[in-house]
Amino acid sequence: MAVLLFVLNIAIGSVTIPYAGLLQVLSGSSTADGTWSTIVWSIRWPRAITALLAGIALSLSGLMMQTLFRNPIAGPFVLGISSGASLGAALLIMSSGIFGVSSVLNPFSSGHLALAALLGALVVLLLVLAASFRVRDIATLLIIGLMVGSTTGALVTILQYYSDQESLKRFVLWSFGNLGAVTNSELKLLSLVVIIGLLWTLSLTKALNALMIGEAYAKSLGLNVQSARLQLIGATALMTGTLTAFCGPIAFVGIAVPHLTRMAFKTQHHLLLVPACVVVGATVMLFCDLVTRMPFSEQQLPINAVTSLMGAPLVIWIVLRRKKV
Amino acid sequence: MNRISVISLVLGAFILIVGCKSEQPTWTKDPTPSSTKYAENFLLQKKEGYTILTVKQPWKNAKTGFQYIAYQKGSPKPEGYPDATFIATPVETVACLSTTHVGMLDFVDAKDKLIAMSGTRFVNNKTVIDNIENGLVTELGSSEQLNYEVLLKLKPDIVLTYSLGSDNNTQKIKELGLTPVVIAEYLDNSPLGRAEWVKFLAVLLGKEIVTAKRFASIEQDYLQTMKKVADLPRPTVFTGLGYEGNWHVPEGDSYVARSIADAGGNYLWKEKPGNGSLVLDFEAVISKGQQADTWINVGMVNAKEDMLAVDDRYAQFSAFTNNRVYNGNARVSDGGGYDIYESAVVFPNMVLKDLIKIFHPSVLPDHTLYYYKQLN
Repeated sequence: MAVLLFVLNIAIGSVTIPYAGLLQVLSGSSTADGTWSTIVWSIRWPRAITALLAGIALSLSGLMMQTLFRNPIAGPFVLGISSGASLGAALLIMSSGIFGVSSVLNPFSSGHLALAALLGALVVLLLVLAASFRVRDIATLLIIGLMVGSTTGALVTILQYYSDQESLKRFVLWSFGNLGAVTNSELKLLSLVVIIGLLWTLSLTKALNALMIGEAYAKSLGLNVQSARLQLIGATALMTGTLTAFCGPIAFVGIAVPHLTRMAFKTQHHLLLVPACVVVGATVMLFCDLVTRMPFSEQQLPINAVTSLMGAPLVIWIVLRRKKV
Repeated sequence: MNRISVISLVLGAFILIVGCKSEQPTWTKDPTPSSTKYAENFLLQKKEGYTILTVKQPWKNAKTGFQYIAYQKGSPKPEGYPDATFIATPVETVACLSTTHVGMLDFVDAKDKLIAMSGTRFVNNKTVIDNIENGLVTELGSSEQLNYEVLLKLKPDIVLTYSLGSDNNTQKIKELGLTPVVIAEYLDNSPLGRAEWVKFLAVLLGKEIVTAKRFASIEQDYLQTMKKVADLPRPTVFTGLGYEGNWHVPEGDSYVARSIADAGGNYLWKEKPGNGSLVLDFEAVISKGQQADTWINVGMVNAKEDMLAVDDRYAQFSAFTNNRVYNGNARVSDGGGYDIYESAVVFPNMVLKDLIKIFHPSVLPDHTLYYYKQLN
């Protein structure tokens, strides 16, 4: 299913490329049309790969967070990562307009934007981590994460209030999420990060299984809860932080996919859930991306709109079903 | 709460909301012919002893227009026109919300009447900058968050406003007892039509004679220059810079599209009806524009490497590799204001000449680019 969607993502887009032409481009033939070549290799291919990686990163992060916090609506962003990234991006895009200063970082550079978002996410993460050392109950950590998120949100609001039109629009567009703007070098970094994240998550499946019963029980099974907590947060932060830095915040996939996976595979066992999430996550993301590209029309939708439209009803359903689960 | 009280509460709220809707002014349709030649968004009708100025569409999606009756100071107000705003002319002091208004005030020889504006740091006009520095022109804050107290203290005779889609300022300024005048030149789509709005201002400021002369010479220059490229082969042109997959492309009847056509260019989306802009994705733009000759209006960047920093795939456009990228930000104030939004509106002939210089370099050997620059 994921493979089929991947192929579809490459084949379909706003510009119609006939199958013969597409085959020529994919086989690297020298007679392939130049523009189509550009479209397939520079636009659709990196985008499909990004969608794949995003789906994996978000669903694994969501799974880890849901298990760690034992909360069905937890997701990759409960630690305030997307708020931190938004703050970083907002500072870069909008403050130069307000203060009229040309900073070291270029507000128009996509590379610098990714860096700013990453730094913002890291700052918030450090705050939350510092809190996690002093906090026993995991639910308290969740609240702290959410409150830090609110604070950064308030700062972003202030920046938006004083910003000029152009910068404001650019920031808003960033916050809609975009799978299409990752350059090839960034893509290599993203792939590396997701692979490391995946391996790390696989190494934590035992811890995840134990934590699901409860922390006290997990400790009695011999699990080092503090270390497990840190690692789970670390793996999530790595994958989600990097993804958000390159693509902006992408909503709902992280929350919805773990539930879909649990329902589809009828298991709670993490050794099975982790690879299953990888597959389901990739499939869902590729599907959403296909929808955003609104094939046969020249426009596209922002990815957050599509994932939210699909994810929100799902989350409602999950919460309503919760009594049975 | 029982059901009846809930229903009556909702009903009451509904009636309140519907009943409180403010009445929109409507304009009186007078049969006198308008003195405008190119502008389609306003009417200028000369009557015995007064002039009717009508703004047909003050902002996008406006349901109705505004009417202003300009009558001589000292004379009695004309009868009729129940929904119009009466303005005794010539007015002595003006506040404005946009640098385009500054450009217009300069054209009609009335920049000394400006006492306040929104966005003083964006001004390019040297005299006005001096006036700002000497405290003769007060800053009013951003047009979305106007400092109404300062405005009220200064009490300008008229406040030139603009709105992108709603009545945010006009109503509020009226409530303060001041006179807002909506200038909607940006909804006119022909370059000469936009410039003709100076005649509108001239009536209010008592500068009709000098303005008519100046406009006539600009008009002449424009039409003569246009002829030079009318029959030449047209290079293909496209505009804009996509951001996060969002590329704004003007439609075929828009100001940008018409400017390109007048300058002898072949705008790639000229067939698209409408005078707004389309939002396309990167694929759609590159499939049409990859081999295009010329690329203009690329946002706020100053050099080709800035464009690559936004998205390195811009290098795939042949206009980029052939150094045929031009941007309208050759003249920028210290505060970041583009002169092309200030004076270019009243000097469409300069914009035309710049574009002709870009599309057909050999046609105007003595002209050097004024608003536009080539990006390297």
